[in-house]
Amino acid sequence: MSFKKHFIILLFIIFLLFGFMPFSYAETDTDYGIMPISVLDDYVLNVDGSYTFTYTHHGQNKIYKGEVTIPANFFDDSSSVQRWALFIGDDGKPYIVQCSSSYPTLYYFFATYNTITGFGVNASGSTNYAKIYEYGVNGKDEFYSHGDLYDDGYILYPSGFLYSRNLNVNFVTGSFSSNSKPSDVYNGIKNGSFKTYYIYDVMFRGTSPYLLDISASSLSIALGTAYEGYTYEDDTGNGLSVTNTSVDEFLLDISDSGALSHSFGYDGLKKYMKHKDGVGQILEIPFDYLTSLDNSLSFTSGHQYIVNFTSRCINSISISNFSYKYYDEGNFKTSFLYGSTGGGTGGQTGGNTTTPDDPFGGFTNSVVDSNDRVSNSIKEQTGAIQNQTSKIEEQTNAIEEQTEVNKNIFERIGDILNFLNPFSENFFVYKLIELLVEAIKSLFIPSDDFFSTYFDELKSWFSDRLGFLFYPFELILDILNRILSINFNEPIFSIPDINEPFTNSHLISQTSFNLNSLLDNSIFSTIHSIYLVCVDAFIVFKLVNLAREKYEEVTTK
Amino acid sequence: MILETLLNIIKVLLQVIFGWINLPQMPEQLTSSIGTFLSLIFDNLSLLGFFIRPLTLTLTIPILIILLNFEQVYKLTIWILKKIPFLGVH
Repeated sequence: MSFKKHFIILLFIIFLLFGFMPFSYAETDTDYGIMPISVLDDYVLNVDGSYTFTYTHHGQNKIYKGEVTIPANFFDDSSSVQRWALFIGDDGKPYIVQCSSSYPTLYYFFATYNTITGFGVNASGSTNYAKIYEYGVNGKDEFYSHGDLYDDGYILYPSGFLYSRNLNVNFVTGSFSSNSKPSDVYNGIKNGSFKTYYIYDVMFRGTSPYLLDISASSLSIALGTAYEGYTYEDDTGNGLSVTNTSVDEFLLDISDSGALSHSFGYDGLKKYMKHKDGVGQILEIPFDYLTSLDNSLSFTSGHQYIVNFTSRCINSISISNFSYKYYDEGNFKTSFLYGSTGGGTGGQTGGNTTTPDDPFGGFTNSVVDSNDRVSNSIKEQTGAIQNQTSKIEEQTNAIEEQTEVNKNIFERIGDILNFLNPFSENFFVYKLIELLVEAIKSLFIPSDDFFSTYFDELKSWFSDRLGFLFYPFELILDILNRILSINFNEPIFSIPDINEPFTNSHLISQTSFNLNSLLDNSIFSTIHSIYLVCVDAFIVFKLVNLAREKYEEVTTK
Repeated sequence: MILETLLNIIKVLLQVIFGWINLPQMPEQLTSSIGTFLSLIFDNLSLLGFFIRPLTLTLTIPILIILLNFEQVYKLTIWILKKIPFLGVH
């Protein structure tokens, strides 16, 4: 073969190799700098009306490709409705998709914390909130809404949120204080809750119980306009007002692990405060009574308060300079509803509801004392029984140890007799011969894993030293290994991810198909079996023919 | 023990002889591209099992190799047989 032919073949091989290099580019980590960027690659309208988004997130150190399907009911062609899907990607990062069927937009949710301060939300402003539907986390009909979105092209700056569950208007709004940490904000979103938000202006309304864990330097609950569900009602303007037709009651549970020194603007409220096990206080406020309130509640600074709202008529609360945790319903049990002379949680009328006294007087104390004495006696007896049980256990253990020692001694004596008995399998001469054989074997025959370790070490050493010169040998070994590992029993047709080399666009997704699945069809399976028999017969025939030819070729020489 | 020692000595000698060489590795992108290419081929070779019975393949491939080299195999066998005096093969 001439030099020219060699050169052409070499060029062909080089082109072939470089032609396949884009496959490896697809998995290369690319540093896009500090700014995280999410790019919506494509969106496909599915048959059921849902959309499947494929996106690429360019993080600080690497790129990530993801896919999410948003259900059809998240989309609305009406221009007046803006819907946003908030979902957590497979990479654990939060994303928002603007669910417009005409022009979906993807945002990587990155909440900044110090650009917007002092953002407050009032009732009238809430109607301007667009809905951000949460999807893919809990699968519930929850949604968050945001106030204004500031978008610098890549990063979404939410100014406030509205949270809803089960289609009730339970909302939490707030802004990010300047001293909050971005990681906290991020984690809060990631967990699908507002637990770690630092909010200095907050408003609650709704039907679900809220549990606030408030560590405040100063706290005041401003009793303003009341709402019930979606219905706006205002009968006093500035009082904690509720609808007169409601049968619910408004319950505040104020507990304090420290010294209790609550003061209320309205003295009449104090009579509804009760100690609970010397730790907390329960404040129960009848509905009708609350309608006449025109003042605020204030609490002693430096204490931790837990406030539970069970009413449908929660009003607004303004709190300053506090760290705030939000808990969902179910974390707080209102099992201490008492003081209701109206029965249960039914409506209480008028402002004359009083705390119930103990109807049993001293008898209750007597019963309690007796119970204590019986309880103490039982505890003492239980302790004595436990002592006895532990002593018995110790003795049992000692006996077991002694038995084990005796057993070992007899076993040793039996072994010695066996060694001296020439008719025993354990006769010491036999053992001696076995030892000698083993010694000779170990002298000449290497251990089982010696060769594999030896050649592996030699291969890696030569690979390090000889570099690209050793690569052809590695390639041959790799090919041989691949040949040995082919599993003919699973005829799987597989295609890897194929990307366009220059723009890195995704051309063909990785896919595979097992041809054995075709054999599920009984007719095809029968045809396939017959085909295999024919192939076997053909191969055997050709082999026999080849053998005959070779034999004749050798014998006639 | 003896064989292990001998092989270890050979290994040490090789390392002493070639220890001074320190050549660069093949470009990683090139090797990964070759790997992808080989994967594309060998991952799909299992398709052969659908058209020919795997047992037939495992039996016929060694036989085929022997038959294709039958002359050399025959000569080697005869050469060995000639070395055994009491067989009297000439």
